[in-house]
Amino acid sequence: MTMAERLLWLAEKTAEMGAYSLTLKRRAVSTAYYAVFHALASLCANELLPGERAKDSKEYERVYRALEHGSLKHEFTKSPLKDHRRLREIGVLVVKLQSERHNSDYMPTRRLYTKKTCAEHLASAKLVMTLLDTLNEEERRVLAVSLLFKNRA
Amino acid sequence: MNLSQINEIVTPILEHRFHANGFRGSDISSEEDFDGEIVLRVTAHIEKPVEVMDRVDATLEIQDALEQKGESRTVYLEVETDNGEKPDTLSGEEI
Repeated sequence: MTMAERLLWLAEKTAEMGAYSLTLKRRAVSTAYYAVFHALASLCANELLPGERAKDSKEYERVYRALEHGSLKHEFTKSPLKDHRRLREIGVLVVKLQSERHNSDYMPTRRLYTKKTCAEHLASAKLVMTLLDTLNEEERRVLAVSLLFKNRA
Repeated sequence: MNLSQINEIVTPILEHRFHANGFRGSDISSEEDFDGEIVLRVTAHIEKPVEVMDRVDATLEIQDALEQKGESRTVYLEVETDNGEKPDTLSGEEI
């Protein structure tokens, strides 16, 4: 099981355990976003530095950590990511989860999620991870390069 | 575009896509997102739940239709089915 998969599992367990807790539902949604973030970081690193041996290298760690939260939304809403249907679908889900992550972690409003809306956000995270697994070689390359490197053209 | 103009584009899309789910109407508001961007929040009121992928497809159709009219704000589509549950009311927890 990958860290991303484990985080998603944790989000589901947290939601299940905290069905009537505003705090736990918030933690579940926030954790679901981080599951997706780590799935993306892993995809990017594996794309640029393939192979099992690379995973133990300093370079892998550096590439993995190069993914930034701040640029995700911007990159997913412009070319080239918005030119690929499957990447756009992933973008819609990731950007919304990211926005919910901020609500979950920082918004002082008492009423944020029902059991159902919390479950929907977790289902979104799960779908992102499923969609990431279905990407072809070109889509993976475009996604990794777009998320990791600024386009200075 | 103002919210009323946006609603004229959004409602038929939702009506068409979620007709079988018992589409009852929609609300649109604009709000500031975590990064300071003004986004559009569309809430579709529906009787039966919608699959996540169907919500994604509807979001993309709405975004494409709005972009054709020069509206480029990010769209967040919420689907609300009234199951009587109110958010967090049973928790007894305080912020």
